[in-house]
Amino acid sequence: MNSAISVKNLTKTFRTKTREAGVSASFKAIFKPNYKKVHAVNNISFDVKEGELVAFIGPNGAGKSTTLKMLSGILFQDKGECRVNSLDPQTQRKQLAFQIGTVFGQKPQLWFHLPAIESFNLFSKIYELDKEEYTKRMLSLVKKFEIEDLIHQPVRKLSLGQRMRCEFVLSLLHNPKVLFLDEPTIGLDVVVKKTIRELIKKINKEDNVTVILTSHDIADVENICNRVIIVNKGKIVYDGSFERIKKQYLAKKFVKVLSETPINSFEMKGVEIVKKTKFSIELEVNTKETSMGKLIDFLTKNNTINDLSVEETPVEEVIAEIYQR
Amino acid sequence: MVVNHLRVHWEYLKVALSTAMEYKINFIIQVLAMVFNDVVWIIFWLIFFNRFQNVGGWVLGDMLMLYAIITLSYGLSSVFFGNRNRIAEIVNQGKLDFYLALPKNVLFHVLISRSSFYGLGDVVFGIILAFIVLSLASLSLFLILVLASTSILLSVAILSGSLAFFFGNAEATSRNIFMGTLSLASYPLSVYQGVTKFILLTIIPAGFISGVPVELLKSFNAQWFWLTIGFVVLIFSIATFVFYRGLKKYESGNLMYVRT
Repeated sequence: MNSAISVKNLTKTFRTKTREAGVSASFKAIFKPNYKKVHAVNNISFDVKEGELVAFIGPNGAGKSTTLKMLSGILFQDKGECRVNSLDPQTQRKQLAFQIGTVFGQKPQLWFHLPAIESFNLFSKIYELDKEEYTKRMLSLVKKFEIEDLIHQPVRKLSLGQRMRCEFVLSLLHNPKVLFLDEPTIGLDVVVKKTIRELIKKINKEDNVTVILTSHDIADVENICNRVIIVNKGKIVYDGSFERIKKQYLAKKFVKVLSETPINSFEMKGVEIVKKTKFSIELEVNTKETSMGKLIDFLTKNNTINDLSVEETPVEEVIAEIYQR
Repeated sequence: MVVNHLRVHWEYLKVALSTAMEYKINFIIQVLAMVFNDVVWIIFWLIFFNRFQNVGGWVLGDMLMLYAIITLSYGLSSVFFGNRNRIAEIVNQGKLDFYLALPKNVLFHVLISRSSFYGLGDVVFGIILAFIVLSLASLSLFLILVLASTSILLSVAILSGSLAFFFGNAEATSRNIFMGTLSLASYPLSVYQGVTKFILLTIIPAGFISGVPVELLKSFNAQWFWLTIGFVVLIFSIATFVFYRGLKKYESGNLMYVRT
């Protein structure tokens, strides 16, 4: 398989003016401005294969959007290089634009006052699409996204979920090979999110579209993507499967025990008592240091157990932990 | 290439027209406001020339000619390049992302993606004025000069809008430079002398927008005609160059907005 995207040592620095608060400081800043360099993206490299579904996650300001913008030809990088479908976004922006689609959850492309169909028609002209082929593709997309009843109403009258589905159709009209999705599910309700996720997977499968997605919703990532790249402060801190995150970082488990006989305090390596009453106990277990079986053996031997539950750390917390490193 | 861009331009005009029709009353009020604005201006000069007859060789007819050129070039650029005065805003608020992700010339696409149809008020007004003061013989020269001053007006807008790439929040400055140039252009060229006149034919090209064209229509001078054409080519090239230079410094942004 060919690589759809290759990124080598990509770096982008923004220069921002900084100054103290207050009027006198702002006068000072006129003559002697202080500049601070912010490394939005700091020397990152990765490869994405054709047809891959990759999630790009990280805290706010980590450099996700900046990377996506460099890949889609919106921003110029300072250093390093990137290729999307073997094209250089800096020098071959227009050719590249024919092959990529973008959905930025916070930057709608549809005209607010017009029915979506008018935006579709306009984009068909911008992408120089053949009229017959365009009509065929548009109708099939409209059917796939179930927006038949919506495309003739002004976009301002649609709900966010309806609008988002129209945005997707707009970005897919020209049959892009690579799709950049920047927080496509932001602000959507659970049901709509699920629909959008299914549709993203469907597009990826049916048309072999490479998808790069950023999101703050871990469920998006877990449900859609087979590969996760975590960025923090402009650097890649994790690149691998979602499963591996779970295995590697979900070592902590919570055990709650209800007993018919009084429970005594005990000590075991890798086990920490969080809360204890006469007949119940809550434990935090590090499965790397002790096995679950050993603990349960111990508990059943010394007590008559009424109820026992084991919980994993929520993935969100794990990701948050990775962010904070 | 060019044909495709023109086709897109045509589509945008249609979209803009249907947007304008969504809000008919608003549209009519804006057209009337434009016409009212122009009428007030004419009344001022009627009163003025009634008292003074001529200003450095310019009579009422010349003034009407000047206004025909200005209203036409202002109106035409509003209708066909309606985002002319919004470049700074588009750059500043990160709205340029939209254009950069699409396969068209960025500057062209920015300029045409809006049409201010109320500019039609100015266009109609300009045509009426031209009809009154223009002789049929000089019609083709008049049209060329209108195109020339439209191009200069656009170039000034591009140059002032591109400031946003370099200085960030330049929306007000950019608009002031444009409107300032325009108001300098709405007085007879003969009131300016010496250094001022030189500046108005170079750094602030107000003279080439209206004054020189009127002089050319009064009495044709090949040297000044070609100087005007040359100036159009020069300033437009500089404006495009500065815009694309600035584009490399574009920083995008995360402001939320809707496309209207």
